[in-house]
Amino acid sequence: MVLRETRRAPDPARQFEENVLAHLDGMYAVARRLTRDATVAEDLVHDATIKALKAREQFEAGTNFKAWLLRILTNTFINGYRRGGLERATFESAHDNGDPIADGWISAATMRSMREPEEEALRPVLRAELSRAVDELPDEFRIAIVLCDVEEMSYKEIADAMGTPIGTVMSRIHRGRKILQQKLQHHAIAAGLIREQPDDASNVVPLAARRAAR
Amino acid sequence: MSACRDTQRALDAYVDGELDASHVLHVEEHLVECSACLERVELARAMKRAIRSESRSVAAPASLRARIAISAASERAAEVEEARPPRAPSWRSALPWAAAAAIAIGIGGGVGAMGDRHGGSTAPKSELLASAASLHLIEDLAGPHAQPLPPEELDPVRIARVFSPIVGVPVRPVRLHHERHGSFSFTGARLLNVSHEPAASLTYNAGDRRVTVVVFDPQRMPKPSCCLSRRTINAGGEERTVFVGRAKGYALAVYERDGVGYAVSSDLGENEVLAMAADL
Repeated sequence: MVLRETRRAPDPARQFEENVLAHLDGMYAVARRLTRDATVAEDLVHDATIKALKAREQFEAGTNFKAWLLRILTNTFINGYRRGGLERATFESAHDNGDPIADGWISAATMRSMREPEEEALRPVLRAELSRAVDELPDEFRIAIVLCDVEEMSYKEIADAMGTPIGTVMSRIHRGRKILQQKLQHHAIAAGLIREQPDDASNVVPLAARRAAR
Repeated sequence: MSACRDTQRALDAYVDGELDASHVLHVEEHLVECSACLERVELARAMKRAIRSESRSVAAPASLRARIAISAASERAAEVEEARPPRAPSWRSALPWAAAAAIAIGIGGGVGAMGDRHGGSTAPKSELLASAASLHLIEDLAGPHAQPLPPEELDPVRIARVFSPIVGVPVRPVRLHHERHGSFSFTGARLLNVSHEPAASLTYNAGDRRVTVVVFDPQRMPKPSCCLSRRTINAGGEERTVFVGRAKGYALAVYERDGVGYAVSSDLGENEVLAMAADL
């Protein structure tokens, strides 16, 4: 790193700073997802990093350092970088009715056609769409999913970071993923990967047929 | 079907590795015999992997690392200087400062000492400058007004002492006046990046009207001439060149005085920011 100054006897504050900076890429990746804006993400990471440096006494040795940093980042985002909680209130109440499992049912065949054949990866055309869909999620769902999927934090760590019970985290992750799946399904239909009303395997358009149709 | 329901309830926890061993066994037994649930798991995993790889493809920009290094150095300097716990003023409760902050403050001898401290941190200047472009400059100058963030510092003395050496030019709150809206109160200052170079934003308000003044070192920045129109105004008897226009939906006036760059943005009109630029 070009910015490092000349080596001196290890100073605990400097050592701590280096430990924080080692996680900067991860913090920035999460911040980009939370803020959806490169410039605001830089401000968020900057503010959270300086907070972490000031609060270094509060870090308990032996606990997960990255999770501690991400908790500060999430807190900073929730408390200072959002326009308010209105969006969440209306959204969550509108989606709290009904059975979360029954709604948004997608057939096995549709799900299969959204992945690369014989592979565990999502189809490339759907990856960009998924990214966009994550950006469109309401804050509370997006925060939970980003912390879980991008940084692989545990439900407990996410609950601490968001200041909510674990059950709330689980419900946000579940609902968020349902929304993402439905958006992907719509996009897959629009892109001709699958047909409407996908009830069984016969509805999957074979890859060869799609190539021939081009 | 009931086994499918159980599996679907546990699917997120299973995919996220949050399920305890006995339940994992239960789910996996079901997955062997149920291809629909297996598809659900595979799709969830594929989505999780895609979100991770799409998100992690970005690295923290060098300018951000530089800015953090600079702020961290000034924090360390402040801790040493003051030898008391770092200040943490809530900017709302500290608002009474605003009145006092309107008084112009000179910069003291602290600059030299701070400058030495930052000698190492600002070294890769030319590297950062290389990526500066004047289009981005305009966006960056209007950014703090379009997306305001809480100020980092309210104390004019500390602003002058800590911000000036970082920005490279004197940073100090000024008296801001508008004939119709009266005196503006100073509400705080904050460091930011403009064209990958450190700058400071100072915010003022009068009622619900806001004005943001970005102070920067014009030597380090490209000229804003490409996207703003050039005007010559009379500022206290002398001619001054001001670049004026709109950026991010706000009126913006950019000019240089005594080697210091100023960008005044406001929700007031272009003529009004121009008038303020003449007064400053």
